[in-house]
Amino acid sequence: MNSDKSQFRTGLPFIIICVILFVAVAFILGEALRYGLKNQTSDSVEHTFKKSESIILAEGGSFLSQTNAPSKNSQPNSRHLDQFYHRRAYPGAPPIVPHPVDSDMNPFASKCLTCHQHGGYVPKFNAYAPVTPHPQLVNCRQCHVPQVQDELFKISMWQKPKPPSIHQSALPGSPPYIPHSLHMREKCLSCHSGPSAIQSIKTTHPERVNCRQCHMVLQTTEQWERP
Amino acid sequence: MSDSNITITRRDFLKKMATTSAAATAYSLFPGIAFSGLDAFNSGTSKLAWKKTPCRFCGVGCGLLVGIQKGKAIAVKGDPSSPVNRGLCCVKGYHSIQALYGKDRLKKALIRKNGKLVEVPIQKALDIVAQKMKSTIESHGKDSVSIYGSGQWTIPDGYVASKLMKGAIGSNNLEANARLCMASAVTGFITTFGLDEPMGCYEDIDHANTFVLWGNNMAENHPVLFSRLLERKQKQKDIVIVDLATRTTRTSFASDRSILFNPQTDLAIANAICYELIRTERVNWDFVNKHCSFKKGKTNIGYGLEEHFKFKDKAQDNSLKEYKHFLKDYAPEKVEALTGVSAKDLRFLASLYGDANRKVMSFWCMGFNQHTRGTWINNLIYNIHLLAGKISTPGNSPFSLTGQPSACGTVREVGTLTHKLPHGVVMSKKARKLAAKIWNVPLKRIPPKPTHHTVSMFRALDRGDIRFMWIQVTNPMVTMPKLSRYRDGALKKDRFVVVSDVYPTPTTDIADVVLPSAMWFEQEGMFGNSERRTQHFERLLEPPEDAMSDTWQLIEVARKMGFKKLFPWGKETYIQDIWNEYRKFHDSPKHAMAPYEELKKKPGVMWPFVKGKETKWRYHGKTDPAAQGDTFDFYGKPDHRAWIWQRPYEPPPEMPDQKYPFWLNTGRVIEHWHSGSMTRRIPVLHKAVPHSYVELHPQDAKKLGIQHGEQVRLVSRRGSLELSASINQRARPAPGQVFVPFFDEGKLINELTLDAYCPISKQPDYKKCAVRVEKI
Repeated sequence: MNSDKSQFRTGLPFIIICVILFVAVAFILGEALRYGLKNQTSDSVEHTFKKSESIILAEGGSFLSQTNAPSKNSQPNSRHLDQFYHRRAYPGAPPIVPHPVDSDMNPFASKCLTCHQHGGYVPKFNAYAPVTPHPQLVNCRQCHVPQVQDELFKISMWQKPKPPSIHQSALPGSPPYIPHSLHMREKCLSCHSGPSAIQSIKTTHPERVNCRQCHMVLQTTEQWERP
Repeated sequence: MSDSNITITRRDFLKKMATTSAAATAYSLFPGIAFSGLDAFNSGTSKLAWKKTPCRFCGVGCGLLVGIQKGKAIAVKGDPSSPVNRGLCCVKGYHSIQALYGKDRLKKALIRKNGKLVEVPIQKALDIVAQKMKSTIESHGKDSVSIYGSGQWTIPDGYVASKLMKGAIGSNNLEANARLCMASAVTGFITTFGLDEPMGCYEDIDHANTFVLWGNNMAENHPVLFSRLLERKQKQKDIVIVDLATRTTRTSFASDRSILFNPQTDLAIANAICYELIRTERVNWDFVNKHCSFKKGKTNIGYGLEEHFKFKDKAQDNSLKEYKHFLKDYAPEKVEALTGVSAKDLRFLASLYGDANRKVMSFWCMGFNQHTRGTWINNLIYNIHLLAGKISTPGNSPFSLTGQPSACGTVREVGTLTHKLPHGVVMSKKARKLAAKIWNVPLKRIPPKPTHHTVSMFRALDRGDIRFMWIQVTNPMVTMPKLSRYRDGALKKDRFVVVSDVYPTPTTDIADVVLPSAMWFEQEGMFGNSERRTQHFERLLEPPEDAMSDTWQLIEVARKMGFKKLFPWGKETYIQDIWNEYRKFHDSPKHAMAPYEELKKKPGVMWPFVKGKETKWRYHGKTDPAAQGDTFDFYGKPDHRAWIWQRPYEPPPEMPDQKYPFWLNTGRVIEHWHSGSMTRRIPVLHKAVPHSYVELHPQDAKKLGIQHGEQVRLVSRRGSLELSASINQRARPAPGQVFVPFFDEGKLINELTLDAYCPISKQPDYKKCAVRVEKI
C-alpha cells in the first residue's frame, strides 16, 4: 500500500504536468496551423521570411501520424549521412534520384509525392521515403535526375566540398546552429524528423515545432562592435 | 511505432556535446580562426563568398549565386532576389559550375603541325591568327575572312567582333549561331512591329490565366519558367495550359490539354484561329482599327536550297476584305485533315484567345523559329494577339523564348549579324553614319551591303569564297545542318579555321589554330536574356593557364593587325569601357541601356532603361517611355501601327514519301545543353543521359519489329546514323515521326538534317526532313 501511495504521490503531479503540456502543445499547434494557412497565400520575395517561419510552425507534427510500417520480418534500409552527401554534387545541391522511376515522360509531383510528401515505408524499396522540404515545386525532374550509368564522358577535376560538421554550438550544450541555407529547406522536420531521417541529424525533440526559436543560421563571422 | 531505441536521448546528447565539442566550441569563440559553423562547408580559415551571375546556359537567364572559396566555385544557389527565377534553378544550373572543371579543359593555345595540334605560347598563336587574317585579306580581299560567333558571346565579345569586322577591316562577314536559333523570331518582330524583342516580360506569367505553348517543350527546355506556370496553376483555379505540339512530352502531361498537329501545319492552325475570331465576332475591332494595318507579302518563296539563293520580301497594303476572303480557306472544317487537329479543338483554341475574361500568353521557341516559314509563323501568332487586342498589357503577351544566354543581349542587340550594326542595319546610311562617328572610322569603310548569313557563309567556305574563319564559343561541326558538306568544306586545302573554345570539340578537330578561352565568370561580362534583361557578372575566378576572354583575344588580334587606335582599352577596365562606348548606340528611349554601375548592383536591368526606370511593357503610353499618348503606340513602324500579315500555309521542301517514310525532328533534353560540350562534362548530367537515341512511336516500333533499346539505323538523303531505339521513355513522337536529341558528338544527327531555311530569316529548319528507319 505504502509503495502504491508513494507512486500515486509522485505520479499525480506528473499526470497533471502531462495534461497541461498536452493542452499547451495542442493549442500551439492549432494556432500555428491557422497562422500558417493564413500566410501561405503571400508569394512575394519580401515575405519569404515570414512564410518560412509559418511553414516551420505549420509542419510541426507531420510525423506524429505516421501509419505505414514495414512488416515484421523486413529490415528497412537506414540512411547515413555519408550516403546523403554522396548523392549531392556539393552540400546543398539537389540530390540525384537513387532508385528506378516509373515514368520518364510524366515525372511530375503527382507520382513523386505519393512517397515523398509525407514519407513512410515503401515496401518496393524496403525503405522509408525521405520527405521533400518543398512539395509545392511539382516539376521534380527539373532538378532531380536518376543516374543510368557510372562512367563519365571525360574525367572531371571537380572536388566535392566537405560537408558541414554537425552539432556546432556556441556553448557546451547550447542549441546547435543551422549549418545550411534555409532556402527551399524551410521545413526542418522533413529531414530532421521521422523514420527516414538520418540518425546523426535527427532531432531528439520533434514535438518542439518552432525550430528557429532556438536554432539559427549564422550570417556573419564578424563580431558586433559599437558603431 | 517508435524509434527511441536508435535515437540518442537529449541527456546523452548534452553529455556528448559537453565532452566532445569543447574544443570546437573554444575555436568558435575566435572568429576567423576556425569558426566552422559560419561557412557552409566548414573548411577553416577561408571564407565562402556568394556572388551573383546569370546562368551560363539557356536564354531564360536565371540569377545564380555562386559560392566561391579558395579560388574555386564550389556551390550554386538560385538567387532569391532575381525576378527571373526567384531562387529556383534547374538541374543544369545547379551543376553548371562543374562544367569549369573538366580535366581536358583547353589551357594552352594549339596550332596544327603535320596534321596534329601542338601547344604553342598564346602570344605566338595570336600572332599567327593576325598574320593569317592580314595575308588572306591581301591576297583574296576583305570578304575572304569571316568571324562566326555565338549567342553565348558576352556583350563585350560581340561588340568587339563587330567593331573589328565592320569598323576596322570593313567587311560584313560577321555572323553568329543565333542565326540557327533566333533569326525567325527577329524577322517576325521586325516585320510586324518594326523593332526586335518582346513587348512583354516574364512578369506576364503572374497576370495571365491562359498559356498556349506552340511547339515548345517548355518543361524540359525552359523549366524554370514552366515551373512559374505550374505554380500559378496551383494557386489559381481558372488557369489553363494548352500544349500544342507534334510530340507528346513532359509538357503535354503537365498541361490541361495536349493537342497534336502535323509538322508545318502550325501556319494553318494560326490562320484557322484568326478565321474563328472573326467568324465568332471576338475581334477587338476598336484596337484593330486604331492600332493595326493589314499587309501581305510574296508567296511561294522557296527554301534556300539552291547554291546562290536570293530572296527579298516586299510588303504590300492589304484590305480587311481581302484578308477575310483569304482566311476562308482556313475554316476549321477545311483544315482538319491537313493539320490533324479537329475542328472542335481549333474552335477551342480560338475561344481561349477570344474570351474577354482571359489574359493569354503564347510561348514558342525552336518549333516556330527553326521552320522554313519561320518568319511567317511568327507573324501569324502576332496576328492572333492583335486581332484579340491581347498584347502589350500585363498578362497579354505573345512571348518568344530564346535558347542561349545572350542571343538577345549580344547577337540581336549588339547586332553581330551580316546585315546589322550595334544600332540599325548596314543598309541604312543613318546607321552607318552613327557607327562611323562612335567608332571614329571613315564612313566609307562600313560596307552598305550584307554578305553571308550563316548557311551561306559555310557554303562560301566550302566554295573558297571565304578562306579564313574564326569561330568563337560555338560548335558548328555538331550543329550545322547537312553537316558533312560543311565539314568537308572547312577541311579543304587553303582554308584556315581558328577556334576559340574551352574544351576539345568536333569543331576544334577541324581547326588550324585553337585558342583557349576564359569561361563564364572567369572573365567579366554581360548577358542579355529573353525579356530584355541585361545581367552583369564579375570576374570571380582566374582562367586556367593561358586561357583569356574571347573579347581580349579579339582585341589582341586587332592590335596586331594595326588597329590599336580603335581598341585602346586597358586590361583592368576594358569591359566597363566597352560598355560605355556600346551604350552610345542605344541613346534613345526606345532602347536606352542601364549604366554600368546600375548593372553591377542589380540582378539584371530591363531596357529601355529611362530616367532610372526599367520598361516592363513596350508600345503602351502608360508603361513605355518611348510611346506617345496614354494608349497603344506601335512606334517601330512609320504608321505607328502593328502589321497584320496575310501569310498562307506552304508545305516544307522535304516530306515523308515511300522511300523515306518518317519525319525526323531534332531537339534537346533537360539534362543537356546544345552540343553538349559543357553539360556532358558535368558528371550528374552525363550519368543521367549518357548518349543520344531515337524516339519512335510504339505502333511504328511494333510494325518494324523494334524493341526498346535495340539498335536501329536512320537514313536520310544526306547521311545515316545508328542509334538505340527509345520507346515510351522521355517522350513519344506521333506515329510516322521520330525524334533525336542533338547533344551527342558521337551521334551526329545533323549528318541527316536538311539545310533548307526560311527565305526571310535565313534560319534552317532542324525539325523536318524525311528519313527511313531500318532495324539492324
